[in-house]
Amino acid sequence: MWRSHAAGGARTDDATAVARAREGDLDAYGELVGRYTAAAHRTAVLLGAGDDAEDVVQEAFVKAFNGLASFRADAPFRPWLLQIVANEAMNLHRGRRRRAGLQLRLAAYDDPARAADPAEEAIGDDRRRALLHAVRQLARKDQLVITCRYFLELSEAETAQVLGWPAGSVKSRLSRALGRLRERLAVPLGEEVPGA
Amino acid sequence: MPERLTGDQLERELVELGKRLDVPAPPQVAAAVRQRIASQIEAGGTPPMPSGRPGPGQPRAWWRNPRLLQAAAAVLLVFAALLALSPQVRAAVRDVLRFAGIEIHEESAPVRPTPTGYPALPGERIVTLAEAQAQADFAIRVPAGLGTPDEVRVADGEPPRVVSLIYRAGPGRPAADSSGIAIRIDEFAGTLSPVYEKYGAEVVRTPIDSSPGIWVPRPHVLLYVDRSGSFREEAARMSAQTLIWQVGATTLRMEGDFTKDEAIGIARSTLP
Repeated sequence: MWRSHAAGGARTDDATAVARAREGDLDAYGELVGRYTAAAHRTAVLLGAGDDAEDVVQEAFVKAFNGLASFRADAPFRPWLLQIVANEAMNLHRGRRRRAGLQLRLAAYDDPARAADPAEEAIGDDRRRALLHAVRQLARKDQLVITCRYFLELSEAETAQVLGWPAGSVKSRLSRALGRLRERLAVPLGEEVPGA
Repeated sequence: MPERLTGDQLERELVELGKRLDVPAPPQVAAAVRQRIASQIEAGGTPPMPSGRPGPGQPRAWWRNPRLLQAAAAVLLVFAALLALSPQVRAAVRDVLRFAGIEIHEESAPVRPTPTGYPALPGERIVTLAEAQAQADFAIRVPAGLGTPDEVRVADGEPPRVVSLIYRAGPGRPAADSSGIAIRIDEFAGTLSPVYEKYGAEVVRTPIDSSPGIWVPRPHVLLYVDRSGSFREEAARMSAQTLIWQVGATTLRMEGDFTKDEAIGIARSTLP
């Protein structure tokens, strides 16, 4: 699947927008906000921000703006922003002294556009529920790394940046988490799948 | 974008599962973000500078996080953090307010008691007011409302980075603390990188007429950052309530047992 990013000259690239935003150009920053609101929001929701996801996103964008001075100009903006989002979402939990789980649940309806993708037809609803259930049984850190790597589709390096972990620990935790999932999924479905 | 996965069936299923997860439609935050940033700039901050440091005469952004001002961080006395000023500890500091050579950190680390009194700043020595002004490379402001300081000290090198005015108890001055000091004013060039760091303070934005200022209403830990950027732990101490303000390129931090209004009155007498 290919996606084109070169949709005419109207869009400035991230680096240009960042450079302008640093000089106080709010339109340029607004472009970055528009571009990454959905990704930031998805990150906040999946990392457990719940009803506070919108606040988390807003706060993260303000913090990112204020932190632009310390942002390395040649670094990619997206993972840096998502790191701030993740911090905000996780601080939310600390602040409330609760240990909320990640917010992982299946959408109530199937998007017809997505269902049309033949690759997805290969996996039935039961299998999907079982997989989700298995993920939710994992330790929190395992869930975090799985969420970043597969649900947010970050690279290992980006996962490390967003979670603030060493790259090596992302790799090892990921492989352990996948191993645990395989073990759990090897159990006959009927015994493990929740009523759902 | 994801690296090429190993082709492992489980990994593909996880990616697919991710697409089926319940995520509400993204909110519209652009307007709110813009408004917050604009009011922040309007309130006296500056846009982030490419250098990471403001240029001369240009104060740092007022606050990096407006919520900090209301966050009412419990007033924490974080001596533990002072003893272990490792990068980890600094990274744990959640919010930083940078203002004219001062950083105020909201810190939620464990609390330990901290010594009071006035440990000397590096190289601190007593001089006359005239000597201090001759040595310092910034304009020293003496509040007209307080009269002549009882003692003047300079600290940290030549030219001195900090000039301190000491006022002992007397008519029209607040009661002295245990070391006999009623008011202490530290002055330095506000365009420096942070000279003082404070932890666990609750702060209130308090402009002195048109000059930016902040009021720290409760005792807090005060740290000194020397020329090399290192914390001087021996100079760490508890600071009383403090008013910090800027006159021209000079930053003043004044502490003593005064009310906010009294402090503002004194600060006003330093304005040109």
